[in-house]
Amino acid sequence: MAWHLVKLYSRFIIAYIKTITAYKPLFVIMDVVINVAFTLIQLTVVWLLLYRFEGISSWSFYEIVLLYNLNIFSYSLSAMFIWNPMKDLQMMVRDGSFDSMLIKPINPLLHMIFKQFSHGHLITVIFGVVIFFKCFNALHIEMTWEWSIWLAVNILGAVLIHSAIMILAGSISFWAVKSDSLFQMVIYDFRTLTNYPIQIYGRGVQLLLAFVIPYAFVNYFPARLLLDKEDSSIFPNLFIYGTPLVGMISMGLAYAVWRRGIRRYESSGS
Amino acid sequence: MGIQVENLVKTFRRPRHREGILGALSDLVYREYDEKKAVDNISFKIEPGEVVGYLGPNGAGKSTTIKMLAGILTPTSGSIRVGGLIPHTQRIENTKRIGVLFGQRSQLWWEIPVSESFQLLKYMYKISEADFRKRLGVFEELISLSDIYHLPVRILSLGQRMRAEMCAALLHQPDVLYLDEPTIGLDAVVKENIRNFIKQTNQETGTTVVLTTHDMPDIEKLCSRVIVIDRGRVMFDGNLEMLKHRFGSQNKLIVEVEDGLPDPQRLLLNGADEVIQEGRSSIITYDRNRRNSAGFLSDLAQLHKIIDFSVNEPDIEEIIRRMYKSLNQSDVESRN
Ligand SMILES: Nc1ncnc2c1ncn2[C@@H]1O[C@H](COP(=O)(O)OP(=O)(O)OP(=O)(O)O)[C@@H](O)[C@H]1O
Ligand SMILES: [Mg+2]
Repeated sequence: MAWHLVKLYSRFIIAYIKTITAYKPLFVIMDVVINVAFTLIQLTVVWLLLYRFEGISSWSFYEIVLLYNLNIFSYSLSAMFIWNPMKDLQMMVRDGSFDSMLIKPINPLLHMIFKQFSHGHLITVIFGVVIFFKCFNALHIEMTWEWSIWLAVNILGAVLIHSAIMILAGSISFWAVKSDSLFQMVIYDFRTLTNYPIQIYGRGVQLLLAFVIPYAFVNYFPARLLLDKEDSSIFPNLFIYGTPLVGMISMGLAYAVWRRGIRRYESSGS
Repeated sequence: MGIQVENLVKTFRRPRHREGILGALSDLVYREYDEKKAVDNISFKIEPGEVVGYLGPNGAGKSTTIKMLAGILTPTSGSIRVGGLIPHTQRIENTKRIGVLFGQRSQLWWEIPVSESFQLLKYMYKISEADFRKRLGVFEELISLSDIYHLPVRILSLGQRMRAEMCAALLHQPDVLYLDEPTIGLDAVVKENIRNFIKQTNQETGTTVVLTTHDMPDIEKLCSRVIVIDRGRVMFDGNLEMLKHRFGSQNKLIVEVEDGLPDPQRLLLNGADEVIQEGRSSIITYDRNRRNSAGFLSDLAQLHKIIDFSVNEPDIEEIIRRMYKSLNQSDVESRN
């Protein structure tokens, strides 16, 4: 089963590479250049901003960068697979071309993920890896086995959380054919809140970020775990281990909503 | 594989748009919906290996039914079994046994060559290399693929693309084939090729075929049975002979006489349903179950010298047209 999917995915990748090399190599190169430039600019702005503060409350500069990077990195990793499908979904539901996802013998969500590949986000992912190592170095983190596994598991959990939120936002298309970006914007704007340690916010925002849109589990709690950091948020200390669990729960919920959405899917008249 | 449909209903909810700026604003706040029963209590049973024409005027609910059979849409109520499976709940299992073609929409990947699309399908359906080669051989023989096999789908003409789509739908040797207007927009030659392809496939592998079309030769050439629906309801279900008998009993007698035109009034009195006179010929429509051409001709021969005559039985096109017309009339009557 799993092996079959790997073979299928590699076939999709081959098809994807053939497409871009055959029809629009220039376009892809331009796209990559723009993406690199854009990411660099973005990072510089954040870097300068943080540098001026020289850290926030008890967090040092590189700790904040790590916090920031946990968010961006896991987001990009997730977006690399899920962003394009969810962006296309609205169109596909509206014009009925989602039909073709439902008459093939693979899971429609997986099919949507397989049939595209967002190279733009791949670039951010690569930058993310570089920044991670820069942080580990500057913070003199010793990368033991145990620590590395915690890092991987937390990143995985964070990726699940981001994916779940994107899938939820995308699934709105099944309910409202003109699912407007309002909701999506709200969700994505909340994401930027977690670029800072959440204890700088009031109680309401902290609760929101932990329980409603669990962005706090994307970076704040994992960062505290990884940095072994005491802090004054309103939550019990145990929460720093919560990311993998929250990731799985969020994904389970999002997938249930997605499935309900498919049941409601109405195709189009012609 | 057989298909069983019982009391199938599909209701769509359509947002009602109110007029003007105020209307648009109130739509934003509170949206009202109209309900539309696209499929209204349809039942039928299709045996394995049958080729069934699923017919009806525009908007009758044909595509909606096909989409439910394929597992794309969830029925509002009623039940569907395709080879024992429920399409929308056992969707993935079901997709392995069905082939689907929508004439209006492509199932192939737009940017990549047909060959690459087929490779993807091969992996998706887990088709073995040997089977794959064999299928391509069969396709080549029946409909010829090699001329388009390495071209990207987006540059194919409609006819070329449809050939590729047909093969794509049949690559995994499905037991059931759903074709929603497979010949729409094709020229006469490609249409004929596609029809032959469908016929051969059915005969050689016993594939069950459900086909919607507005093209009458499709039906005559392919369908042993037709189901006609209108406004979501079954109006007729039976073989073509029965359909001809019910809606095709009106013959046309075309006569030419030497001295001008015969009196239409007299013909009508003799039992003609309609008399149309064009140039030198008179077209007399009559019900073959009640009158016959010999009757009209012997009566005409008393007053005129007959130069030429012919009797036309209605073709399937005419029969369906008449049938749709009568569906419309009963609509008007039921509304009054
Ligand atoms: N997704 C949808 N949402 C709302 N109404 C729909 C939808 N799909 C179809 N309908 C309506 O359902 C009815 C049946 O449509 P359907 O497409 O099944 O007709 P059809 O028999 O295939 O017609 P045609 O011959 O024109 O293709 C139409 O009145 C159509 O407007
Ligand atoms: Mg249709």
